[in-house]
Amino acid sequence: MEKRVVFDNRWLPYLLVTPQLLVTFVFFFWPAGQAIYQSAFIPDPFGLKTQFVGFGNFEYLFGNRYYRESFLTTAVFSVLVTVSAMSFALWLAVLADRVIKGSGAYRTLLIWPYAVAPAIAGVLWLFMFNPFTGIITWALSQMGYAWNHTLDGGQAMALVVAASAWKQISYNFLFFLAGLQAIPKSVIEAAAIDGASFWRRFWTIVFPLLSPTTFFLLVVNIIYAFFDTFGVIHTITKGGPEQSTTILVYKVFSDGFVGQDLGSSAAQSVVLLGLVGILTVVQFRFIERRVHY
Amino acid sequence: MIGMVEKRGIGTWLTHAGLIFGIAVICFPIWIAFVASTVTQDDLIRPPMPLLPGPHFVENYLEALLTGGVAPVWQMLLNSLVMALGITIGKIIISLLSAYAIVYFKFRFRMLFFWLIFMTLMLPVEVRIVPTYEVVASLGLLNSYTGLILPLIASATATFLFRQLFMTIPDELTEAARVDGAGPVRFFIDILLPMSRTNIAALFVILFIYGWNQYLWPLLVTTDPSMNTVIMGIKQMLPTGDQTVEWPVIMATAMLAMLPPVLVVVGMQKLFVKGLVESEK
Amino acid sequence: MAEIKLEAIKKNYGRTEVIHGIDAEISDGEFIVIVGPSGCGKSTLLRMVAGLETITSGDIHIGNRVVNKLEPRERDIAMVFQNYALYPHMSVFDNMAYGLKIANVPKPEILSRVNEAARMLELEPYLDRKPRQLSGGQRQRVAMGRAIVRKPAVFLFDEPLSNLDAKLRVQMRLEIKALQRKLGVTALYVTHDQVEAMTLADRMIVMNAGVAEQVGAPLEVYANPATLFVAGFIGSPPMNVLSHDIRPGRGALDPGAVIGVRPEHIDLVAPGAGLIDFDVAFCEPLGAETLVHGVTAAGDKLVVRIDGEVKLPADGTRVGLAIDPARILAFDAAGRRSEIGDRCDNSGSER
Repeated sequence: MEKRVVFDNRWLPYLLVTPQLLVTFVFFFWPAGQAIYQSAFIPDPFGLKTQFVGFGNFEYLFGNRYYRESFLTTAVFSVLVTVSAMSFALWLAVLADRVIKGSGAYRTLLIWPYAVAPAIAGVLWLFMFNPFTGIITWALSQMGYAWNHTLDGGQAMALVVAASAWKQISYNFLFFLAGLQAIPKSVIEAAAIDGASFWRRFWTIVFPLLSPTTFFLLVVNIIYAFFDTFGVIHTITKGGPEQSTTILVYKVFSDGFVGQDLGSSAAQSVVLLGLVGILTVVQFRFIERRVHY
Repeated sequence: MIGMVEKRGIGTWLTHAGLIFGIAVICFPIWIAFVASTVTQDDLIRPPMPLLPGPHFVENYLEALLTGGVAPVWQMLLNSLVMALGITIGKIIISLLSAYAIVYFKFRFRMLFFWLIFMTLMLPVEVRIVPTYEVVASLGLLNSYTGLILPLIASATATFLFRQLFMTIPDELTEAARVDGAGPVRFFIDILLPMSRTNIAALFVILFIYGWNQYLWPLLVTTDPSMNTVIMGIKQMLPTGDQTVEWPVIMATAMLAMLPPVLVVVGMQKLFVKGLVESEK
Repeated sequence: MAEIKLEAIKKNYGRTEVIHGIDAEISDGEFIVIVGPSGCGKSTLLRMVAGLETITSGDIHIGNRVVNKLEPRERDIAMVFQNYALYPHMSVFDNMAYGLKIANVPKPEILSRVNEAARMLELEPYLDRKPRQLSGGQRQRVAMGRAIVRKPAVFLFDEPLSNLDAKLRVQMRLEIKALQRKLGVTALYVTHDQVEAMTLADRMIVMNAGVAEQVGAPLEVYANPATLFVAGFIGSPPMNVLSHDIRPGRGALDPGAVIGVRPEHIDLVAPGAGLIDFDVAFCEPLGAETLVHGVTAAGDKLVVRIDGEVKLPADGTRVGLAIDPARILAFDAAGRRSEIGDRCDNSGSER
């Protein structure tokens, strides 16, 4: 934490930190403070004054059926995205790790979806699954399955999960591949000599040794599913049908901007702030452990 | 390599087949979009759409670029570029300065400052959108590049990265520079910055993609269509309700929107991977 | 060119005093080696002279100026670091020119100075290379080149050879000495290797736990160590330390006091014909010399150095030890030289 050599300058350090301090204060602390402050008020019917309600907004929130549902929706959504994105990526990484020649080419071809914005991913998948003109919709109808995610909540969830996971596979793939390549070959060979088959080796040796990477990706994927998927939801379902895909971060937006209920939106922000805080602490605690591993 | 202990012919073939399948799944949506951007609206309205590209590449893309749906795509691309570059360069500069101050100077509020910016790691912009919007609006920064860029450089991830990097620079180097007569500013410019070149480049790649792909914030901050960025602008081109829209143009726009970040990732792969790995440590 | 004067230098880290008052006067052009074990404070002392550490109390004079408050660049010094500290992104030429550039020395002069130094150090073919393309010895020379071009009043060396392999170390040692002689610049050199100290120093400062135990010319320190520590530290194999007095006509030593005699000052003679008898435990034949290990009749362990051509005494033989009593040094319980006629007192300065 400490460097032996430090400069003595009096005013230079203050000058250096001013830009960041300024930006952070104006665009982070002030709004965050506002969010906490506003969460204790509700606007009166005429929008002229606000009324102090203390924890009232929070009580209302947790008593609100839609908000609680949103929690559930978010949980389901995150789990589905995380599990599907991570398993598919792991499978691909295992395959890519086996290949001697050409793994570089495969890697190039598999990583570029990381560059695609979630919103664009949403547009692409929306196009494929358009209830009237989508190519996949058509293929499904040929097989006797009718697809309309604007009517069916389950299908809507499936679609946003697919679009979100699709984008995240590359990121997971990169880290899994790196993790696999870091496992010493000698350990695998020793297991093979001991008579373990490929699957046995995988589950008893490779997977446990991969666990730091896995845990790390777990946290990252959950954070991704919580926050970065706003673009996907907004472009495909706008939280519908009937709020079946309204995840927490989407609700902050729709209540605050569309519904204009600033107090509730602020309260929701505060709740999310708490959740992120916990996740960040977990991530940092864990990163420290990863260094020791 | 975990599987290569036994070498079986069929195993290798299956591996490659699996990878190709994976690539196909990953690339399918893009392929469809590309095909759609080269055919006519009629081809698309009656499923199934063709699976091979059509002949209308030039006219669709031109139409997208020049007229687009709500705003011409060239304008949106420009806005995206300015925003992405602004975020990237802005964030890198202020982070370099802050990290330098934290690592190399002893000043009274150092620890306080450190924890203050540490806290910014905890709140992505999505969580503070409403009040940040109010702040930006009250500063008169709606529909401006400044308003698009500044709130997004407020988090401290890059600062911590640079801090970590600076901690690995040997003390002796700083002492040698001091003996040579270099003061803090000279040291920063002549020695520290050149030595940080690769890390700065890697971070540039990551931040550019992050900035380009922003969606929620530009959505809120721009009401004037001429300030749309291409990522959020696409949303406004999508049909709501029973509207008919020119899907080929939309798909052409999507392709254009994806192009710069994808080029950056693929072209600067090494740097990109390094940047990802470093930023998660 | 400058004299250096250290007056009652003390250094604290927080509340811990690590340097307990060092005094020394160094003449212009002298090569002074500060030698001592790890942690004795020698690097700290050097860095205080350089201006890289603050001085808690005392004064440092370079030339006729008190430099306590001056920045390194204002002290007219140049330093060679243990790990060379070359700027990795600059070529060898730029590394050497950097200090001059900052001092706004005109370009043609920079060119001539760097080229001259490069010639002296045989670095001319490498001027365009980057440090990572050089070997350890070459990097060391670039570090020295960087110091030379500045034409400072004082050279400071912080264990510059410890990262080189043994053979290279010997070679570089000679080069450093020759260079310093040629340039005539006052030099302060820190090392933990007493061989380096003996071969390089005009005078040396032997440090232990923050104190300068002795200051003097190498042979003087060798022959007349002021403390037990110095006696044991300088010279290899180290001086023998005995708890039983073997000088003729003496009683037992005071409690805690010891006597010392160097291995090469002892001859092996027939049992009973020397000052005391000695049982040989084993021999180490080194070729040019042989080290004979064993125990005296009084129970002290001892090492004797004999000529390599002499026939080895068998293990277990009893022999006698012949020693000139003048070569036996006495030390009191505090480790200081005792007895009338000793030439060094315990403040560490030469008389």
